Amino acid sequence: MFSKESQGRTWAAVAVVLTIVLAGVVGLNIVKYTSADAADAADRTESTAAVPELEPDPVPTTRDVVADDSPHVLDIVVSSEDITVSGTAPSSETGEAMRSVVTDLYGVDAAASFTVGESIFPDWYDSYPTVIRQIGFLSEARLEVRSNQTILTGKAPRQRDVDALLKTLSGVRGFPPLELRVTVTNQDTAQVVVARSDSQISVAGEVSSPKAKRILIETIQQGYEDVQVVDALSINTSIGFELNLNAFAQYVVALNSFNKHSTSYNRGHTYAFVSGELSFAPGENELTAESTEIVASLPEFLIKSDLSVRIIGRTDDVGDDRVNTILSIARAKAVADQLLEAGVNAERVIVVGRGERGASGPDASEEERANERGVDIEIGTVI
Amino acid sequence: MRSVFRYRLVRPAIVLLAFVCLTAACSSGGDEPPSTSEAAPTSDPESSDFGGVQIDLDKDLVIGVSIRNLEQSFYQGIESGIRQRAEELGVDVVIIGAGDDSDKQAVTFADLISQGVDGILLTPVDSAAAVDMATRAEASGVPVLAVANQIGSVEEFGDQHIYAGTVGFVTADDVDMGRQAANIVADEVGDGDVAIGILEGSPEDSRTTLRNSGFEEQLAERGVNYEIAATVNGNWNAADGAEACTRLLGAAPTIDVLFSMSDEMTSGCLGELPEFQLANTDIVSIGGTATGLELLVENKIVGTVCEKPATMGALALESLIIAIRTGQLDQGLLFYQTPKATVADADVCNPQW
Repeated sequence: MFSKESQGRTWAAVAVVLTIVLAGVVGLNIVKYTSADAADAADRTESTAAVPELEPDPVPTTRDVVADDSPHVLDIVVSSEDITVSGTAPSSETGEAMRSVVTDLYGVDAAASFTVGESIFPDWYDSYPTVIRQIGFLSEARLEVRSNQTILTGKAPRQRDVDALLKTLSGVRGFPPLELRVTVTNQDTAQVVVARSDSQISVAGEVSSPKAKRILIETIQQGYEDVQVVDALSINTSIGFELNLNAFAQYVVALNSFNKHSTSYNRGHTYAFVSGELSFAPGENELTAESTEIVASLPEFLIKSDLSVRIIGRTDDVGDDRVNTILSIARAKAVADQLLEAGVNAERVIVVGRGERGASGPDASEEERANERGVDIEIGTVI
Repeated sequence: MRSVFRYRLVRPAIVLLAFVCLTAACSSGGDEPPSTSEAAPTSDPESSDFGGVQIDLDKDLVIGVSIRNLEQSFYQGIESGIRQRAEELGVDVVIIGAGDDSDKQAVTFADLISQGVDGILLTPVDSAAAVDMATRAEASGVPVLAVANQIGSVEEFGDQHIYAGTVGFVTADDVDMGRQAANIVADEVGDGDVAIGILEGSPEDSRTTLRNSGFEEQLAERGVNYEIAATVNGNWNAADGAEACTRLLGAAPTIDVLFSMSDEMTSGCLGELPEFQLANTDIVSIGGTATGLELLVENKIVGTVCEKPATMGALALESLIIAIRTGQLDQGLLFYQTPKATVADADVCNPQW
């Protein structure tokens, strides 16, 4: 693994050499990483900043620097509007599963094909879905993985998008040395807010192109056949293109069992707040059959998206504060247990007890109190 | 409490916040009647609107962290989780260890406030003494979130308590850890009769009570016909665990299951006793430490429950930052998952301490 001490020293040496080489060849506008030690981003930033200013040369093409001509384990090309993925899979079944990961995330913008061949990195297939998702944040990008060399080129709107992808790659045991030539653009990216009430779903915000807008609206409309879609999207061609906006549309569709939710895409983050439908009788912490059915729609989406989820239990303000906190935890656990039993990764499930915090107070109506006795679900994160 | 973030009150945000609050009774306590005419929000490129929550992702944050004892592996795990998450989120952290000295912690905590940090994560040395720290921070407008150990004594406030005016409390769910240990036992013994010896932590520690209650509740729920043959206090450490284990087997030499509440006590017990004495006993532990996992792989125990201090630290930092960036300064009681690890699925637990 990259994190092994012995390989870390090798990486460090590679890092020094490639930093020097790339400083001369590529110029300052290219972020240079060679180490897989993603835990040391601060040091990397400092070393990049310390490189003396040079006259930028034309960025060499990937082919100029590829010494390894073995078959691609993986080759991902992200253009301004689509993604093409090819590579090697250990079996046709695995290849089909890998193809599905791409098309499920990116829909009509995706093309993927795999040939059957030797499995070089045993751990690779666990990390593959995350890599496919994370590279969607980059534009004009290419990730080439061969048996002895990995090259990543392209543009990223934010440094952390690069760091996240590197961290995933560094987690693959035996992964080959990495050359990284990515420009961080610090460009604003799409911001979209989708709000669903019972009767309509509104889609507002900014996207980069008419095509992005069309796909977003059409995907959501197809997923909410009987719900009116209100299009309040505008186009801002100065913001960056993100392939993950298509994945976001799929996420919105995956929440169609919920009659009320607010789902956002902001600077690469997907965040959904589902509320008002998982309610409980006073003092109770067992899900109703209807709530159980609604929750049952989530695991497939959560497993596929790899997003974290916070299950937030709430109570009204009747009774003791401490008892209410414990009751709220029990309500959240009822939902969390259902997700965990369905195979959602425990690492990504957080149980929260808010108790009566946020309750309306002593003058609340019975209807308000009924709304307060519930479980909310946050998917993804706002930060 | 001081507002530590910038609101940009734009129309879409107001509309969406109203939408979310009306449908969810959200934590800001909206109580307007439901509306059926939610206007579609309009686009505003200046907005940092995020599904109805106003956030400021650009503000640079500095988070102070006051940790009980950086010499102990558990707290080192918390520290590493905080550092890693801080790096991922682009947040600066100032981490200070208190060396298990409550007075020192009070002084260094006050220093963090003086430095103008945007929020503080606190693992108190002394829960009762931490009340003064939390009060001072609140007066200074600095949000505080408790990690691992609560603010406010268990005697006065009960366990799993969120001290008023703080953002919340991130910890492991001790009841659930007891339940997971019981699940390991139930999977091993089925519904047969079973005599159980318990090697518990110090009896005045609420973790002991909570783990015991979860353990017995779940055994009953799983239909295990059990008898607690003996309970001894191993005081959470290896040396006392070894001594307590000898006492336990003296009192109940034929137990079928030994439930130890920490891997450290388990390790002490196994190191002290000749192997044959526990040859017919299934040992179930809590910790998920490197030591515990080693014992598991060597088939010396049948399972351990996976505590994850680094995960807890990361969750704490993330939750405090969410609170600061969104202004929702009441995050509540937060638990991460502590799954059981057995010989068959030891890899579910990647040891963090």
